[in-house]
Amino acid sequence: MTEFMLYRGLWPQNVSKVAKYGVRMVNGEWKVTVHYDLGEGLMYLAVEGSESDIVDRVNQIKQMGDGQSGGAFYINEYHHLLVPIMRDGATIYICGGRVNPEFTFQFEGAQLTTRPVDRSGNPLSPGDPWIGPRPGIPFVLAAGGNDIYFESPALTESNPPTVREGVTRKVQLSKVLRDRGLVTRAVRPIADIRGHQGGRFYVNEHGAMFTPVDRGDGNGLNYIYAGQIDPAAWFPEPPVA
Amino acid sequence: MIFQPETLPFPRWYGPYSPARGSNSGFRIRGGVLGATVVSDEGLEFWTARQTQGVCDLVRLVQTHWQGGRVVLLPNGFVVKPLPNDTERVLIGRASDALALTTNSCSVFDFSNLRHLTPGSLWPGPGTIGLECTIRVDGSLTSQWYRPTEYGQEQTQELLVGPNPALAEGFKRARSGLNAGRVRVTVGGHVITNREGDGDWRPYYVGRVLEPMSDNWERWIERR
Repeated sequence: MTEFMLYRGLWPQNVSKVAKYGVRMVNGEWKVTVHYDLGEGLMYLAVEGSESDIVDRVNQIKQMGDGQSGGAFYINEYHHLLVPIMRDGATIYICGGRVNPEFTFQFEGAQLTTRPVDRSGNPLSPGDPWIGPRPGIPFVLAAGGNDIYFESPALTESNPPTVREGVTRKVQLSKVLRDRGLVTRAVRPIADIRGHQGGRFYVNEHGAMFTPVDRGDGNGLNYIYAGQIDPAAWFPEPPVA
Repeated sequence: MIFQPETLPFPRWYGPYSPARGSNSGFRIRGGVLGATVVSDEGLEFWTARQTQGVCDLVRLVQTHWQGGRVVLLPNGFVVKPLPNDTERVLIGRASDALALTTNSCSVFDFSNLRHLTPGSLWPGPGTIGLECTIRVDGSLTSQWYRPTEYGQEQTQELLVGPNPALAEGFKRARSGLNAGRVRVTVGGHVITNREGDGDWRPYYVGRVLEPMSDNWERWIERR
């Protein structure tokens, strides 16, 4: 049996239902699904085609937890498969290795994808509404709009790692890159939309950044595409066992 | 007070800690004297520690290495010195036995002899000393602190005192209408909390922690 380890990178905790993928039983078959916001409620969409490798990996890891198949998972900008499971009353994140997802979903006769394109397949520009499914990894544009950080439980340096009880890492892009120019390059696309107040944004498996913005028209939050991450001006890829 | 210094090089301290809240907060060594600032009706007063051998040893040690500045006396007796810019903290020694301060009116404020204080009464001593904690509904105390790292910072949260009905009751008396909030645990285990009244915040007595706080503080010491 494959040995799975705790993931040393960002654990995307406390995100909404729409920010995660799920493996569900659909018509007698385990499928990758996603919650999609219709404006009047949520429905889930099943991925088109076969993604059985991801489904199998997620289910194998889920069974290490409570012995059941199915449940939430994430894919980050490095294409790492992250699967949360319960262990000793707490949620831990297991890395399921590297995947190469190309998810498409049918919705009202059109094909939805998590790539930054509109319903006709034309590329989005920063500032455009993000109409696709919203699974992503949460980051924060710091107040002041000049840094990006994430928070995640701290692990030991040992191999395999364990959780350091009660300890949280706050990882700041400025401290990691130590290059003001690179940080400015990373921050600018999201700061152009969120401004000096900063706030949460998401990065999906295609490196697309999108962020919830209250447009003040009474229609709640709109998700806005902010552009692509620049891998040369971003957090380094965590090791995958 | 008895003071037992750590051997050099001083070990790094990664454990419970509260940052300075202004230049008058906490215990400080000023002009070769250990003391803490108290807000009185007359203004700010610097109450100085009674000159026991231990206090003199502590002052000499700090003066030798840093001239003076802030020292944090943790409720378990550990004495921590924050280094400049609060980038690092070191454990410089361990204090035990009573600490007493001399007030500006030459009376004595003895941390080991405050039995006359009742929960909910005004705390007559320095209000910015000790370890910041959060008291929960059940009277348990949790401390949260951070330390800078090369990638940002590390935040730690630790339960230091389990459910304690007496503290829960004391907090309600000190902060009527609230049953959870921020407190400080001073030398000697006294728990105090700030309450707003007449436009400013004053410290009030909540109670005392009599049992040892947490069980293994040694794990936060990194020897060099």
